[in-house]
Amino acid sequence: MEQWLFLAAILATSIVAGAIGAILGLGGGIVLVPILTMFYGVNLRDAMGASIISVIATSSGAAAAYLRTGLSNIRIGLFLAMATVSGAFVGAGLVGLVPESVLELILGLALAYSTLVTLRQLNVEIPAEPRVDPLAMSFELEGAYYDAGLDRDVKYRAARVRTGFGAMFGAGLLSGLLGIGSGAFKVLAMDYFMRLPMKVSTATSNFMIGITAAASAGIYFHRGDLRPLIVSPVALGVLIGAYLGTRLATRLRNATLRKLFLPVIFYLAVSMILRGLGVHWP
Amino acid sequence: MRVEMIVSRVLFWGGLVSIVLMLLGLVGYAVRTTRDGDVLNFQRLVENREHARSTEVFVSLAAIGKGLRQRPIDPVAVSALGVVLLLLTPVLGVVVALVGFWTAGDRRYTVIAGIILVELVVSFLLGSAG
Repeated sequence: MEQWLFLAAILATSIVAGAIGAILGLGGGIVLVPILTMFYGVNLRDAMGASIISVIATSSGAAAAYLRTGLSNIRIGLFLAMATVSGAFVGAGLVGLVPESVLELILGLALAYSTLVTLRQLNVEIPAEPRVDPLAMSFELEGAYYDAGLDRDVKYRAARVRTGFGAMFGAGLLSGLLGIGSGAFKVLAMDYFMRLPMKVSTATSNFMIGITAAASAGIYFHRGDLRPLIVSPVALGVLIGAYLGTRLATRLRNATLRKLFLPVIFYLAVSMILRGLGVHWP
Repeated sequence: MRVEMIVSRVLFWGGLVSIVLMLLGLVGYAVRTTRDGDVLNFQRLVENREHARSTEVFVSLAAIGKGLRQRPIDPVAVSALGVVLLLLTPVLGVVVALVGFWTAGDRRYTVIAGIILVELVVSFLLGSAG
């Protein structure tokens, strides 16, 4: 009986992680890896493997819905995926060269930084009209969506495309290194650098996360880090959670999304930094 | 039909079929272990990594195929097939987007989708080589 409880607990945890992931544009992996290792005693590599697969599950489920509603911008997604996939490729190649504690520290600091950035623009629903970037014009990095919260159509166009592209390479790098979708950084690059509306950033990030994770997952598979009996309940739970989260996300305002975003990021940032410094706490 | 809609469908069905296969494998494994009187112990599975390694992990498509051809069929191989199919779902999405942009005459985005596809294929090949 006990083992069924254990399985049910993993499933329930994965459902929650999946829902948070879909709402925030995170793959859920950044939540899952620490939880599986800290609370369930799963080996780090197995946790990363389960995470990267559940990241793809979340992305596929959420992106399917976001693409249909037009919130996910496929051109912006593919354009920036060139950078994230290259980053994931380099990141996966660097695994083993960089000590784990250094990685945790880097991730913690990066998360803390993104918390600050998010705090500064807490109440901005739609970004101010940015300067026109010629690259955005020639690559058609623009679009429009109907915002149910504001009850009007919102038009948008990407700004600072080069900076955003560079940041995306970094996001992909972290994804490959840590077995996460690194959705927070994709959202950050689109929302903060490229001045895209938060909802578009979140939805488009969901689409890109799967493509980025697929690059790393192939390498994980051949390494033997994808164990079906661990991956399956986790991915199943995450997919259920993602479905519920996606339904919830369309009803919330952008500022509400950010307020949900902050405590999660803050907690993870602190525990990651502490782990990097050798202090292990849940 | 818009490219977005086709990609959306590929991602949806790819994800669904994969997850159903994973679930079937999991249930099959549970049934087998219960029937054989072997305790279904996920805790042991999680904590005793090296012990479980040889029989409960697949690192190549050939090994999965072998597990699927076995009679009775190996339920873990069914789960593994689901895992691999899920892994390939975004790749399939990119392929479909490429075809969609090509058909729509959007050369620029055909090339962009092509670049991503090449990057993905190279990473898979390097993964199996390493």
